[in-house]
Amino acid sequence: MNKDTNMETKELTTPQAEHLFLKRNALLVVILSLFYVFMAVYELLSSVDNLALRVGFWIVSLFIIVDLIWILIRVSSLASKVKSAFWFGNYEDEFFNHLNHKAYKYSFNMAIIASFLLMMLSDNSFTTPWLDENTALIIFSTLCLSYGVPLLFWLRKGNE
Amino acid sequence: MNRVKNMTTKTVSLPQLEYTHLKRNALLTLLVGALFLMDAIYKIVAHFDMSASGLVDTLTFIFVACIIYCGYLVLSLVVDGLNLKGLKKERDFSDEYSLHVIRKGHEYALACGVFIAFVFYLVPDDYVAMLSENMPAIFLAFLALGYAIPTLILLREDHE
Repeated sequence: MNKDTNMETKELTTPQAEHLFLKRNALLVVILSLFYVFMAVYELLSSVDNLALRVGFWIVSLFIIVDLIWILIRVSSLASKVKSAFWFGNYEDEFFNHLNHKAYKYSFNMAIIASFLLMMLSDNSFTTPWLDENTALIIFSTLCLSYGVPLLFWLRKGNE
Repeated sequence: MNRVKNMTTKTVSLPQLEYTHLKRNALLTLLVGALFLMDAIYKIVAHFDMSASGLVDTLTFIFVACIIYCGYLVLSLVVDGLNLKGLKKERDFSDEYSLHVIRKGHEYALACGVFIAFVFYLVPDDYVAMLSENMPAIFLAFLALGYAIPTLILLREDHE
C-alpha cells in the first residue's frame, strides 16, 4: 500500500500530499523519539550482563535506525510538494492544519507535565544519576511521542 | 483596566471574553515561567554566595510579588472559566483570531523546548554542571516563556 502511494507522488493533489506528509512526519517523530528512548535505556542496560537481552536490544535499535533513515528520505521526497507545511507547519488543508495544531497542543501540555514531574523528582531522594544525565532526552522524547502518537491515531484509515 | 473588565464580565460577548481569558492565561504563564527561571537563577546565585550584594534580597522580593500576582491571576482565570464553559472540554476558542494566537503560542513554545533540550543534550556536563541540576525547571521556564511572549505580543491592542 505504502509503496504504491510512494510511486504516485508526482500526481498527488495538495491535500493528498499533505495527508501523506503529515502521516510520515508523525511516524518520523515517533521513531525519532524511540531512538532517543533507546539511547537513554542503553546506558541503563550496559550494567546488566545478559547476552540475549543485549542482542535483542541491538537488533531492535538497528531496525529503528534503518527505519529512521528510510522515513527521513520519504518525508524529504514530499517536501517540495508541501513547502509551507515543511518549513512553517502551515497546512493548506483546514483539517490537517487543525490536526497538526491539536497535536502541538497535546505535545505542549505533555512537555509541561513531564518537566514538572521531573523537577519534583529531582528534589527528592528518588533521583538516580541515570535520571539526571538523561533528563533532556526524556523530556524530548515525551514531547515527540505526544506529538506523533495522537496524529497517527487520528490519521488512521477509519477516521478519514 | 483588568478590574474594569472583570466587573463587566457578564455583559461582554464571547470573543471578548475569550480574548480576556487568553490574555490573562498568557500573563499567568509568563509569570510562572519567570518564577521558574528565577528559581534556577536564585539557586545558582546562592551557590556563589553573593548575599552581600543584595541581589538575593531583590530576587526574593520579586519572587513574593510575583506569587501574590499569580494568585490574583489564577482567581480571575477561574472566574473566566466559569463563564467560558466550552473551553473546559476542548479548549478550542470559537474566535478565529484567538485560536490562531494560541496555536502560534504552542508552536513557538515547542520550538523553544526542542531547542533548549538539544542545547542541554549537546553541551558537555562539565561546563554546565550547575545548570543541569536545575534543567527541568529551566526547561519549564523556557516552555512557558516561549508560549507567553508571542501570545502577549500578538494580543497587543494595536494588533487587533
